[in-house]
Amino acid sequence: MAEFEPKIIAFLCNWCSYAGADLAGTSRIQYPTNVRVVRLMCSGALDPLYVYRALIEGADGVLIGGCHPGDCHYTNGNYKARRRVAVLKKILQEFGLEDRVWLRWISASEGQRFAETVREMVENVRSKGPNPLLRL
Amino acid sequence: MTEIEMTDGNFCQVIGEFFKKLLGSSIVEAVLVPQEISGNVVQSLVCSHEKIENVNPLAPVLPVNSARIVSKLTTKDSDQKIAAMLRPCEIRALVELVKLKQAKIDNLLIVGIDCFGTYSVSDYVSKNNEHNNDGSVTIDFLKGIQVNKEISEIRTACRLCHHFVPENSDIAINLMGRDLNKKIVIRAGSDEGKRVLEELGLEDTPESKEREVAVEREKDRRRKLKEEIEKEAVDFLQVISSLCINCQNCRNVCPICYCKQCVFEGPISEYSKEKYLSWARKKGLLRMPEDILLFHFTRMSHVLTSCVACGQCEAACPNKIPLGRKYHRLSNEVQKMLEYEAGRSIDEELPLSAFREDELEAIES
Repeated sequence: MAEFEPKIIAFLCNWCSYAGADLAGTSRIQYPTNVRVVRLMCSGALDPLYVYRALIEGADGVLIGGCHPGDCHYTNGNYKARRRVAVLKKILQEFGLEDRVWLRWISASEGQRFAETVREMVENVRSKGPNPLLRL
Repeated sequence: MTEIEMTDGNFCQVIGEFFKKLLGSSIVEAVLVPQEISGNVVQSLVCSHEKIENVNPLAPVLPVNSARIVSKLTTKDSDQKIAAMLRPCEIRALVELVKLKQAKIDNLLIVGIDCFGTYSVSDYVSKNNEHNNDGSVTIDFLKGIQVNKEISEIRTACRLCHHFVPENSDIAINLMGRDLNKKIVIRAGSDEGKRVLEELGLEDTPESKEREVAVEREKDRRRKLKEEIEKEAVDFLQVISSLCINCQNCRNVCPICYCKQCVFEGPISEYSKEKYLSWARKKGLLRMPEDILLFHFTRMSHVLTSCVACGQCEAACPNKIPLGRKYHRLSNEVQKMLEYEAGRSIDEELPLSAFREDELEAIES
């Protein structure tokens, strides 16, 4: 049987993390192709529903990328995102899924960090195995 | 603090007299009080004092969380003042609704009462029927409480509750640490309450030692109960996927779930046949009705920060999913993490619209 290839949905903010991912691409930094990127205007615009939906529909992991604290294009969206993700992870903990959702601050100049984050996350999720919700 | 001596030991009548006095004084236009109606005890909005006949705020039953009723009564502007008799979980939910801009308390006199817990509506009504609605269910219940008898019918949410003393009330009816056959105590909890008691000619004296001791003892007792209940592990995923029928009763009775149109009634949860088929193809089979898990996840995300753990969700569930204890524990954890407590203060900002720069650093993976 072929090795399990995790599917990761990444919600990236337009101003930092998405630009970081873009930089990784234009700099030709290699990273796993397991990630599907959804661009948001701000990590603070992430409705937890998006994350739940992704997990229920079979994503093995969800990466949320935002600007570093203090760098939010909208002043404080990332701080609000952090609280929201904290609540979301508490809820997912109840279902044993909290480690499948990662929050990372990645700036527009951190193409390398984006690539490393994806690499790290893919390996981590691969070791966990497929999303258990898939059987539902 | 005002002590009212009871001549015949009928505390319900004494509380009824207080409300009659309040209505007669023209301080308030109407009072919202729990009264016995058709074998149950439900909230009633009363304007004329001869209709205050069967007040029973001590009956161990909570058909709805009255914060929802106060929300209905107060969201539109008006100058008429009303008084509302509320249990602690109802006051706490109301505080949250005020912050969520779903209720106003400017023209509301909150009369709170110590709460000893409640039965489910069906348990209460059937017990009451057995006793020909003679009021003995309430009396037996309180007698049991006074001698620390373990009453198994008390709802789990109430057994877990450690907010049984009414905070944030204008006037508080204190029962703990008292011999209920002899007297009840009415105290002012705010300047407004003080003014009202003065106007009614009731004097204010300080808190007693006996009460503090009794409250501490009760807290201890509930802490032990809570530990016991939390030991029973529940696989929530398993329980939801086997028992939930997506009736959404839990949402309909929740005092915090206030949206006029729930996200699950909007177009984002209307799918085409092709969408259903594509899900079914992906997983091999699709459990129907769909979106049950998404509904529970989302409801948790929406309410946990303001949840007061009143357990109405569990009471409304036709398949007895133990939502009450889940929400109790999770809301406690979430609120603790965000240094917030639902219902504690009207001035505290809602936790999801606030933040601190130096917090939750461990959330970043």
